[in-house]
Amino acid sequence: MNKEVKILLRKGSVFMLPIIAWIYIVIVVDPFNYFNVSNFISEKAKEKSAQQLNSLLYNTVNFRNNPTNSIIIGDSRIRKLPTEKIKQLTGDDYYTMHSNAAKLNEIIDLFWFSDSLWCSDNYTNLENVIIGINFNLYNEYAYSNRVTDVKKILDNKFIYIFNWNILETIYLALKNEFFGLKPNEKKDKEEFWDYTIKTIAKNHYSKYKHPKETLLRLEEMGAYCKANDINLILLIVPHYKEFHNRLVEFDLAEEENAYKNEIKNIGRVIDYDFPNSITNCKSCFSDPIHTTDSIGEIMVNEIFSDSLTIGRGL
Amino acid sequence: MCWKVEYIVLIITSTLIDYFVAQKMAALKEKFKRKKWLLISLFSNLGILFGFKYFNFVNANVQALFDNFNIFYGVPAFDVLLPVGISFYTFQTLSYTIDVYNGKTPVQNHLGIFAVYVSFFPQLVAGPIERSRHLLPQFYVEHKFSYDRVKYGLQQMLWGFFKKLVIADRLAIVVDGVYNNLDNYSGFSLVVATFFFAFQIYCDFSGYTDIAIGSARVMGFELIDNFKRPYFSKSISEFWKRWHISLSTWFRDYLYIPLGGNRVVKWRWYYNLFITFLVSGFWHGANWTFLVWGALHGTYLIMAIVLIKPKKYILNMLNLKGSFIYKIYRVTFTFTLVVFAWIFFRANNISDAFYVINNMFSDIGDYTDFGKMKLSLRGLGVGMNDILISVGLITFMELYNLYERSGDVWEKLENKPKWIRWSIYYILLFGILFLAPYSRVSNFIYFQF
Repeated sequence: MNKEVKILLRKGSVFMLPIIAWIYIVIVVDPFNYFNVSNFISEKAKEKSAQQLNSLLYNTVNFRNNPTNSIIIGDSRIRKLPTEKIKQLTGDDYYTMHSNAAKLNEIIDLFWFSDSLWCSDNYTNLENVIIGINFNLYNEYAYSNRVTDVKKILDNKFIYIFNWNILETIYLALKNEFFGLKPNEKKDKEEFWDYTIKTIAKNHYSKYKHPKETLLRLEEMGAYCKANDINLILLIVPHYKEFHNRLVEFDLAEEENAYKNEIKNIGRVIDYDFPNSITNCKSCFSDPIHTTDSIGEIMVNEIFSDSLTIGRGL
Repeated sequence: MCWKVEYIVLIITSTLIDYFVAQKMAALKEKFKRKKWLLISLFSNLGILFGFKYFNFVNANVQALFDNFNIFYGVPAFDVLLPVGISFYTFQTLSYTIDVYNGKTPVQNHLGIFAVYVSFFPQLVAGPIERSRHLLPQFYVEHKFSYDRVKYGLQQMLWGFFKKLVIADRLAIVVDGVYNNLDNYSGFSLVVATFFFAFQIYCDFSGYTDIAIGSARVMGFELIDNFKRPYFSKSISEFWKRWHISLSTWFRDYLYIPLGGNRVVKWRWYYNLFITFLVSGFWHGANWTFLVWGALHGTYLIMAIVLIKPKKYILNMLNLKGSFIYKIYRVTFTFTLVVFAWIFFRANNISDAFYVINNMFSDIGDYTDFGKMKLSLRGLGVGMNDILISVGLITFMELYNLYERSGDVWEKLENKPKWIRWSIYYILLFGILFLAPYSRVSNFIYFQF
């Protein structure tokens, strides 16, 4: 072999070593259980770091690894529904497929993704689906496309291994494993409360456009559920009244009424976001849009015992 | 743009026609006798290009015209896809026959080598459009393996991949999100998307060119440069000496100069400039947006000539000539004109382009309010961090270009210690591996031409 070719091969091999080392680290640490072959890092450290940096990927991969017939899909607000309590009431195992700041189009994508897993692997259907859908999601401007990315990661190991987000999560998982899990920093409740009322409400409501295409996709999903005997519930979780008032300040009260009218034909709609004993109670919320755990339990009790007292069916 | 195995017939046809036309022309001494062979080459090559690239556009417009007058026009559309690289190899092979006709290049007797010249894979689909005088002789040279040459080629490819995958594809997420859903955007979002497109297309196309030149170099071939820091140009004419050089010199040599160039009366000079840029716009695609883009650049150049005297007068009056501030102003002004024209290049149709122009400054009063600007960037489909990373990458790329002004970056690096060189390789390689949005990688923009 030519001497210069040998030099190139030798240097090229040395140059590639860090890449091979990186592939090994990803497979061993595997914070999202993508390869699901290593226990080098505790599940707790994995979950904490992965949920913090990419809850969508973590929940999707875990659902792929252990699919259930019943799922709850939505953004962080839907996380408050306790799945253990639901199991006590119904005997069904529910999986919460939430993603922080999920958008409605992504929630629909997640529904189809979950359904496709069942159809392709087990030739059975989903049985129960709860979709968390609040008015701020029902806006054409509230759009993001992360599920497509996640699906590509699931289909292609290369994209998982060489991914900035995975790199960050591996760093955090190793930190959590070897330097101990740190409790989440507590935010100043009042400060965050004000921020949610002023800034987050503004982000949600200052720009609105009726989501024509997303509504069509919702209707398609509803029709599919009816045709396949999937029990679909659209759940509107409560917001503290001060937050809801911001919607009125942005002159969107009519649009909100229209939204509730439009979705009520898609599936069973359960509404908690109207003046009631929860929305009037500040201590029922950890912040203006996230209820406390006990309120989550109350909602689950009402929904699964078919006795809506605070909530209402639309 | 599409890949279909049947389309190989097109490139074989062009190759055979031009090979035999050149043989015939070489056997004839009188130029007027050679002309009929040249015309055969022109008609057949441009005919294929017209059929596959422009027929449907012309047909649709004639249809619309006839419809206006309620006249029946029943010519159906041609159900074809645009073959990949057709505009590039057609121009490459045409340059050969025109050069043989003019006696500027010797005829190529070896059909195989001529076929390799037309279909040389590193630059087949998006250039640089090579000249026979430059590329053909290289096929006769023995290319021995050289470690230094291979390394240099790989370095250039690495930089090209970085520009394409890390910068261009990242910017494409914002640009495509906005330009494909214009109804949802106005004001600052349009400004950001348009500004990003200027760098997306540069990184996309120059990235491809670097990969093409680098891969050719690995095999021992030297291709011509296509870009020389175009966004540092101080005038539009300078921009065209730095942007897509192989195409602009092609149009200069085979259209502008044959039309008379600048050695004619003034109005004719303006006409030559305008026509050259109009055709250059049309070369990019069968759409009115490309025609307007070309016409705009033609107009810029004509205006630059018309305004030469008043500009000189003002500069003398203000004593600004040669000053640093004036240079900065010129670069900024040229860049602004180029970006403005890019609106037409990127827009899906003319009305979209006018929507962008009419709405991009609709919230100009808010430009000083950071909170409002941040809010208007919401809905771009990426977070604020992504926007900042994109701006950082653009700055990094332009700093590289600035460093390149005093000589080839990779040659300069050769004098640095090994740890610095390897660190840079790893920064670029891991940048490609970790920062490229792999789930949203898009095609090279110029593949569609």
